Amino acid sequence: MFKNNDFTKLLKPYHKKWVAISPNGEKVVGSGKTPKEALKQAKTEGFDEPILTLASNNYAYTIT
Amino acid sequence: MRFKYSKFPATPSQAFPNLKEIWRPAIPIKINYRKKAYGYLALIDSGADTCVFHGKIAKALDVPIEKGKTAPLYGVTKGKGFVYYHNVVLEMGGWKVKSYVGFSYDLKYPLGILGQTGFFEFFNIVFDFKKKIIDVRPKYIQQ
Repeated sequence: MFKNNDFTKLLKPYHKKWVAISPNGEKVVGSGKTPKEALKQAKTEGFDEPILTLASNNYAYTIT
Repeated sequence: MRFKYSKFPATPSQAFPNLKEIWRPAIPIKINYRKKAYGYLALIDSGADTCVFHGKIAKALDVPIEKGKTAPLYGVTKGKGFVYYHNVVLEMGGWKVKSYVGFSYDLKYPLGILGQTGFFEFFNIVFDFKKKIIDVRPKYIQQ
């Protein structure tokens, strides 16, 4: 369970990048053009099991 | 298990000029494929027929994506996309399920999608948008 569920400020600067988020959701611990790049950076920061996501500045207007 | 809705950035439009953020029923999951497993943020989407994750996640997990069986994808792609389906193990809230999920390089939505086949078939979901809570309860435990 995330401690932080507000990703508005956290993800916005990483638009179109792959991001590794700390397991509690509180900070970005890695980023890059691919999930592998984000994971590699997270590991160097000491986070072996981050949550991966593709960051965007817009999560609205979706209908499936 | 209860999860909270998450708040994400949104871009204003002519119809919604004040829209700057949006609440989504997104939860952290873990995708296991053979010896690799990675956490991933995915949207619980009752309108989606299947689970679809980004192709680059498959690549990180060493899933041979294009060896999977294919199906078209409509709705969250630019035009018609292609999805390649594989058997994985999904973990969430301490539960594990063997799930048949799709990976696509054509998925344009930033979050992974948890749909009917592969997710809702295993879990009962209650969305409480007012309280911003998602209650996920397993129907069957496979492992």
